[in-house]
Amino acid sequence: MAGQDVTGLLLDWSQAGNRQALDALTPLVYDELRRLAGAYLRRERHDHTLQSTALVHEAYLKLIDQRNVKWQNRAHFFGVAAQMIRRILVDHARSHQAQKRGAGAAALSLDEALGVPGAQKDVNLVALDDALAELEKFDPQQSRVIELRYFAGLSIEETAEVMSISPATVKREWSTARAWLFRELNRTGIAAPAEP
Amino acid sequence: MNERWQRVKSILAEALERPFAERAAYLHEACAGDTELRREVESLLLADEDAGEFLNQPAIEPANAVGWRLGPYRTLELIGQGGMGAVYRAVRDDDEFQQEVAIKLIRRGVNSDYVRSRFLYERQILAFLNHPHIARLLDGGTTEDGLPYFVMEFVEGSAIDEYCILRQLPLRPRLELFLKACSAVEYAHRNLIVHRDLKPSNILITEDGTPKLLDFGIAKLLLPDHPHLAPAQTSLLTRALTPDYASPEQIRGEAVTTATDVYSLGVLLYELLTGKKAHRFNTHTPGEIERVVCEVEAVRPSSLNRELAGDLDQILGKALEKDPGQRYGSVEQFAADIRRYLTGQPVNARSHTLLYRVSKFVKRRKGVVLAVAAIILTLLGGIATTTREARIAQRRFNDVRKLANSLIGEHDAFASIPGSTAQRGRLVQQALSFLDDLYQDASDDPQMQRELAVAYEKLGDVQGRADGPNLGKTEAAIDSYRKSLLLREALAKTNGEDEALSGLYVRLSGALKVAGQFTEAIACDRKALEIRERRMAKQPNRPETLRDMAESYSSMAVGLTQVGDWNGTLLYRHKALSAYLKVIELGSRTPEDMNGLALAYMRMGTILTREKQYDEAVQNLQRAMDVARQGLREAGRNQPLRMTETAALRSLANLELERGRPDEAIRHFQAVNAIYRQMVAADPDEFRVRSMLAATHHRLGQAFLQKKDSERALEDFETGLTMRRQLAERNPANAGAQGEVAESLAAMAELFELRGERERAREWYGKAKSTLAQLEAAGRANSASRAILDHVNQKLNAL
Repeated sequence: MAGQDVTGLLLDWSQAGNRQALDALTPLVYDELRRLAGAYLRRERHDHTLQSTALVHEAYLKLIDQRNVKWQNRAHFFGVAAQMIRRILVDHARSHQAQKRGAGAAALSLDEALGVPGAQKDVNLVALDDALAELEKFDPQQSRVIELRYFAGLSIEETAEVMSISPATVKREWSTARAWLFRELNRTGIAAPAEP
Repeated sequence: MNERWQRVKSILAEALERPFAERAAYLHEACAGDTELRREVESLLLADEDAGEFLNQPAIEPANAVGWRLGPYRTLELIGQGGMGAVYRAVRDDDEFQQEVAIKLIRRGVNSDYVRSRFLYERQILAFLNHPHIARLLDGGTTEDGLPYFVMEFVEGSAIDEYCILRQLPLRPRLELFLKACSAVEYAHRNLIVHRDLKPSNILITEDGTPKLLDFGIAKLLLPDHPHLAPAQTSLLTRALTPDYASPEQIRGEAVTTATDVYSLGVLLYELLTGKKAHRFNTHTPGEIERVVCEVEAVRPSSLNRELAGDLDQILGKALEKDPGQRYGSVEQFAADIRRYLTGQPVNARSHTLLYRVSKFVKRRKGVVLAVAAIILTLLGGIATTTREARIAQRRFNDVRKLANSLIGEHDAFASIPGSTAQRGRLVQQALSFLDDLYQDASDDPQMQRELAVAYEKLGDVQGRADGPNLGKTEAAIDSYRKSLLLREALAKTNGEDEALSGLYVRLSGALKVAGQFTEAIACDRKALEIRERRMAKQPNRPETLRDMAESYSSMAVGLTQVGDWNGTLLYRHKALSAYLKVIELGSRTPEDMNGLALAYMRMGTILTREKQYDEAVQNLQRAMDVARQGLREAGRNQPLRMTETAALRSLANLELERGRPDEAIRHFQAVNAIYRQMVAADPDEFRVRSMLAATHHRLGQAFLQKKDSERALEDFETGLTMRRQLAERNPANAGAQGEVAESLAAMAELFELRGERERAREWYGKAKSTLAQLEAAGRANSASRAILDHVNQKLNAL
């Protein structure tokens, strides 16, 4: 992926508000992530846990470590990346869940399968993804906040900047969405119980 | 739904921001009788309470820490990532100096207690190490959000394997480079730290060819005295080991020792010299990894590089032994063999070749032999197989036994070399574990019992023999001696062998005295004397018998001194001296005999000093020094004789102090001090010299006090006290060490008293008293510690 293209598209999208730029950007980001993933898969590594960790990691670092891009542009870039990371993680989780279902496994601990550092042991990504999709239907802004904070790891301030809303709003959206998602995941009986 | 949800959301957000106690009232008001709305919000509030840390940690790690400011440093670039943390290149951002450093920062999101303690442990380990070939720890701290980090020397260089390839180094420089790297590992081992993750990427070579050892992330401190330093769940260490350099014991999850690093260094050297990996995996399944690492021997190095034929084949073979007990006993020995190769001397790896080849053959062929045996069994009815199996078993048994005994034999050769205490401990421990195994199969064999008894005795000697270099582990020594005692007493009963038994009683007595168990010690001495007197009656002029008598007399005298029986002490001192004189008269002048005589004179000197017969005492001490020096001239380097010579000079200094000649005393004490310092530097694990060095500082303090030079006195008292406290902590079973701490505390008090600082004097006497009271309460006080206690009590009353 040519770094120049991405930067240009970012500027178009974030500064000129060009919706088409975003449409062009999305596949580039996704391709980059997939390319990195492919490189990892081709390398003959035998420890799948380690491999997947490294995959997500490197992809992530590659995406954000663009020193020639100003923060605000990088922030928009994060916005795209957050969606992609969500998609990659959840796809990975779904395929694992499909494999394991036959073996009689109950709720899959995805982070274990992925070995993703920083993820809690008991978040079910597939269930979370479904719940987020539900949430998006009646409150897309909230769904976005979760995506940016949880999948892209943005702080409240960073999220506010990407979404052009106030940090106080991000905070309110975050805490209420978190409660709703938690209830949703527990209601479906998939999420693991909360910590005591 | 949307509008409804917006209402729920706004009430929920409000409620969440309110204190818990006010929420119900708020909901009542905000929902204004809409029970369904209220139920919805309440259910979400409940979910929030239960949610704990749900989603609070991002799904993947957030941005890396490039560009962060950590204390005075700023991170510039990510240069490495491990299981627990990431390493960044950073600079010190002060205007004063732009120093480049490496900073290891714990990973966010894996900041569990375990990882955190492991991380801090690495920092702790690095703090112990200061070596030109180990990347140094410079600083440490915590980020604003509580992540620990530490700052290390930044090493710019390439991994050792790359370095060798890029520069196309020939064999000799490769070996020399490897030796430098070994020196760093050796140094870590001397500090009881095992690296456990030696591989090319952890040994960087700088532009000027200096190796730097990095990453003690999974290193282990082998210090039994500091279990609190080690994170509890080492076995849960999740970091993936590189199977390329891992040892069989690591793959199997067995105990890791310094031999583990020997193996990994062996793999590394193999690769540096042959260009190929020692472990060749067909697949990376756990089963295959275990099979290759634990069972498959590396392809003979010389078949890959002809230059290696002969010694280097042997050296690599010995470093890469699958059984840790068969490898080089230390990195030092491994390196020494490479040095021998470089200087054209015969290497040690070859010396046991025949023996271990035989045992290896049996081991390797056991499966085949048994399979053949099974076929023959079905054909012939078992006769052939049983004899064959029995023969093989017998052969293997003998091999292992020979090996164990040769290790114990080597131990004696080490005994009088200064600086060898720790290695000796390992050596004997290794041999002992062999014998322990064998003992299971041959417990009724007297020869086995003898060998095992000897092994336990040697182990006890290294752990804490009272009159030899030892590790200061008195309890352990007593334990080992008691194990030997069971065997020796049985042998005495069944075979009438009591010579070795009497010697064991004396050794045990020595250790018991150190532990303050005087009554039992004296009982042991009496048992030894009974046996020896019986023998003496039969063979009065045999040097061996006389030597043993002298030893028993001395030991008895020491015990009697401790319980304050001065008449008895003087009597046995005389007996010991005349026995040694007779040995020498009979013409035996071994270093041991010379040392025995010198010691006997010295002890006469100290007893006479106590009796205030100074002139006669000086004569005896002078003779002690003369005999010791004569012995040293005849024997060359000999640690016990050197110790005795020094101890006699120290006794002389004590005498001068006692008769009020502080200047002479100071001169002698300082000479003694210089010798002890040399010895301590040569063998930092040695306990006895350290305690004598501390005692000498204490005495110097007293001498200065006699001269009314309280400043210098304070200095020496403080030094003595600090050293004694360290020693007492290291060996809590040593009652003498505790008593000496009290002695030092009382001396500090006395000094302040003389200066007229009554408050401080009282305070220090109080400290001395509580230390002594603890000893008394534990039933481990001796006459010396009781005398100090009386003195302290008097002073406390008077002040």
